Amino acid sequence: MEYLMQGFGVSISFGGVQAVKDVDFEVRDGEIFGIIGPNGAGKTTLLNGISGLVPLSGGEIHFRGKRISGVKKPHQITRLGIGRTFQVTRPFEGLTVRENVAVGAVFGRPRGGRKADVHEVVEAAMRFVGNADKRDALVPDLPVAQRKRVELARALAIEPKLLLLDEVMAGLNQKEIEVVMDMVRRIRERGTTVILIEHIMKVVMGLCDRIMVLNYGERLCCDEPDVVCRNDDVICAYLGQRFTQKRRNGGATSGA
Amino acid sequence: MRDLEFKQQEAALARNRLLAQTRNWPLMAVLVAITLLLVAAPFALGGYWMRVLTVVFIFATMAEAVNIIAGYTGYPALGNAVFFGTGAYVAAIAANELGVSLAPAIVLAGLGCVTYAVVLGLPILRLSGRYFLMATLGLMEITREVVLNLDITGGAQGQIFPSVTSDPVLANRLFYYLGFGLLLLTALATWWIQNHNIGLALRAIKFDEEAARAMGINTTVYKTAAWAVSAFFTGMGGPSTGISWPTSSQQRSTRSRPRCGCTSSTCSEERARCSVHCSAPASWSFSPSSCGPASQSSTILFLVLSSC
Ligand SMILES: Nc1ncnc2c1ncn2[C@@H]1O[C@H](COP(=O)(O)OP(=O)(O)OP(=O)(O)O)[C@@H](O)[C@H]1O
Ligand SMILES: [Mg+2]
Repeated sequence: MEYLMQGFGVSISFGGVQAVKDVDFEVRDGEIFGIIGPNGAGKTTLLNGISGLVPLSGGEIHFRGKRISGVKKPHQITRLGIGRTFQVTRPFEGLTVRENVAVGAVFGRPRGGRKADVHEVVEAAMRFVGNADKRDALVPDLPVAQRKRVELARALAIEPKLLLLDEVMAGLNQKEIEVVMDMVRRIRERGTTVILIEHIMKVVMGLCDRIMVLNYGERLCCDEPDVVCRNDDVICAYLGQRFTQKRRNGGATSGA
Repeated sequence: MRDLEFKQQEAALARNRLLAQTRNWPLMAVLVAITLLLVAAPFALGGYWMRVLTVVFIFATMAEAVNIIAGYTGYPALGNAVFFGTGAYVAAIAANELGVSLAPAIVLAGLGCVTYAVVLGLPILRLSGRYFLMATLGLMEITREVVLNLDITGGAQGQIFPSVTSDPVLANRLFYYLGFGLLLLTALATWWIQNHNIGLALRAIKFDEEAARAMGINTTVYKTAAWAVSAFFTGMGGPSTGISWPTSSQQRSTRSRPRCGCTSSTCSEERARCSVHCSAPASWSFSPSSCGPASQSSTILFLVLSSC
């Protein structure tokens, strides 16, 4: 089976702190791949490693069978078709929403792709996330939910093959979460593979095809949601007994 | 660069904007009137005011140039004056050693500074914020020290730029229009940058460089380009001021004694503040009238950079 992305023994350390330890993973084309784990488990760090913002201290990451870690710079990785959002939103504060999205459309799309359609791409991305009416607003004027949408639109504007979403639903209310979940589903239907980091279990369970659990930088397991839920290590390290009981009783499941 | 596609679309936007601006015709009329007035001014103004305006033009040019790196890109290039001096020296050395005339010498000055900015920018622009700021200051001091100790620059004596014209009125006009042209050129370049991909990239870098990288912007290329453009215009401003300045000192010095003081000007722009000591007159002490009109008509260039 051909994987879209593969990690071989990925390690990332900051001085003495080893945030990611020898993690193997593989992401299939077209799936929604969840990464969960306690705070500080190294989820965001792994994402930064994939997008090239932090160097790996060991191992390799391959995209479509070709090595990207250590050989491609972040902007080159983006142009291969790997878009991302940031956990703590980082839109360009002094730019309008439209300009923010345009940055992705202008610079992030693969070279040699379709060209004369920046405006269409920008408009389409803004319409997709539903903030086209805010196109001329400056980012600091927007509430958190809107800022997250700006980031999502900006990442979509690069027309990614693989989209890395780092807690796009954290801090949103129930209704907004439903909306974004629906967006993620539609993104996948368009043929974009998604790596999703999330703490909200309802979202993770509802969306992901497979889930990888990290704990202290190490991979605990990686499997389908139901299997992961029943894994004792995962329950012990992250989900907790209460969650499993609730799930067994068929009750509402959220938060960790 | 990937400007092509965006250009077409931005061109459409720019057309709209232009249309909007023509609707704002009183402002346009005032701008056009001021431009025409400035073009005509040399025929009405005396030498003194022309020199004042020339200096205004040059320093406005430099402020615009600093704005490209410090304003748009957010890199506080405090030591941008280094290009002012480097440009002056490049032009003078080109003129003296290679026999280049004024116009190509000024362009060479700009290009020399571009090279300097690219070579130094690649390492220095890896720093950011205050670290970049300190590096530019250091660069300025180092350059000054090097210039003072090299033979080709004339050491502490500086360079004498060959005479451009012996007619002071003509010289004044020449440098007036040179300064005015430079200012227009820089304003045009800034306008262009603002309305094209490169401006978008620079502003993205300013607000979040890492996010810009994650959005596919080759930040190294863009910020180096921004500094190079900044250096280009500052570098052309150097010789334009340096060469023209003593022309007036010379006129004055025919009446008064040589002065050892220097003319110092300060241009401050946003966070960046570049200060240039443009001291020519010391050299007058060794260009006595006995050297005749020939040497009288040569202009003296002696630029010392300093952080004041
Ligand atoms: N730039 C950095 N320098 C030093 N240590 C870091 C850096 N970034 C992350 N770490 C450390 O690496 C570990 C993993 O952090 P990371 O942000 O990847 O966790 P996470 O799984 O995303 O957690 P959360 O669920 O809270 O977002 C933490 O111990 C963190 O303190
Ligand atoms: Mg995180």
